[in-house]
Amino acid sequence: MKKILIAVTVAAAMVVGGCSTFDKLRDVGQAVTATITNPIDRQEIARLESIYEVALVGAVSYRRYCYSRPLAELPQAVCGSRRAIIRALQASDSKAKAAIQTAKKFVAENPTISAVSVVAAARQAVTDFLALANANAT
Amino acid sequence: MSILANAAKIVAAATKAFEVIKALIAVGKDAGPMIQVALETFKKDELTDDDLVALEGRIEALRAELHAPLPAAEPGEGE
Repeated sequence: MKKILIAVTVAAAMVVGGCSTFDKLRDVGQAVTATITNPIDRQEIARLESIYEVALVGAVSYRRYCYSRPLAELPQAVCGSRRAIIRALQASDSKAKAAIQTAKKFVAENPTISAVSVVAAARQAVTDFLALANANAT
Repeated sequence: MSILANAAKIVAAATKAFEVIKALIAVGKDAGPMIQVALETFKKDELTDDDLVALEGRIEALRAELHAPLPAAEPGEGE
C-alpha cells in the first residue's frame, strides 16, 4: 500500500511538478492572451483532476481514521490536532477545486486563447493540497 | 538522571512511534482500494467520457465526505 502511495505521489509530483506537457507548453509562451489554438485540452485537465483525486483520498482517509474512535484511543501524534488539520485540508481542497473549475471554464469558453496561466494556478493549488494530504495521511 | 527515568523515556518514545506506525497502517488499509482506482485512472493515456464522468463522481463523493460537518469536539479537545 505504501508503495502504491509512493508511486502515485512520485507520478503525481512528476506531472504536477515539472515533467509534464504543461511545462513544455509554458515554454512555448507565457502570454495569457496570445491567440493560439488552446493547447490544453480536457485530457490535460482530467489528468490534473486524477492527481487531485489522490490528494482527496489521502485527506478523507485521515479524517476517517481520526474519527474512527474517541480521541483518547487514537495516537495523539497523528490525531491530536485532528480538527485543525481537517479544517486546513478542507480549506486547501476548496482552493484546489476552485482553481480546477476556473481552468475548466476558461478552456471551455476560450478555445483559442492560451490557458497556461489558469492551468498553472490549478496545478499549484493541487500541489499544495497534495502536499498537505500527504503530510497527514502517509 | 537515573537509569530508570531514561528507560521510561525510551519506552514512552517507542510506544508513541508504535502508535504512529499502527495509524499509518490503518490509514493505508482504508485508502488502498481508492488509491488503486485513482492510479488506474491516472495511468490511462486517454480518458474516455465514461472515465471522466466516473472521475467527477468519485471526486464529488470524496469532497462531500471531507467537507461534512465535524462531530462536536470532545471534552478537552481543542478547536
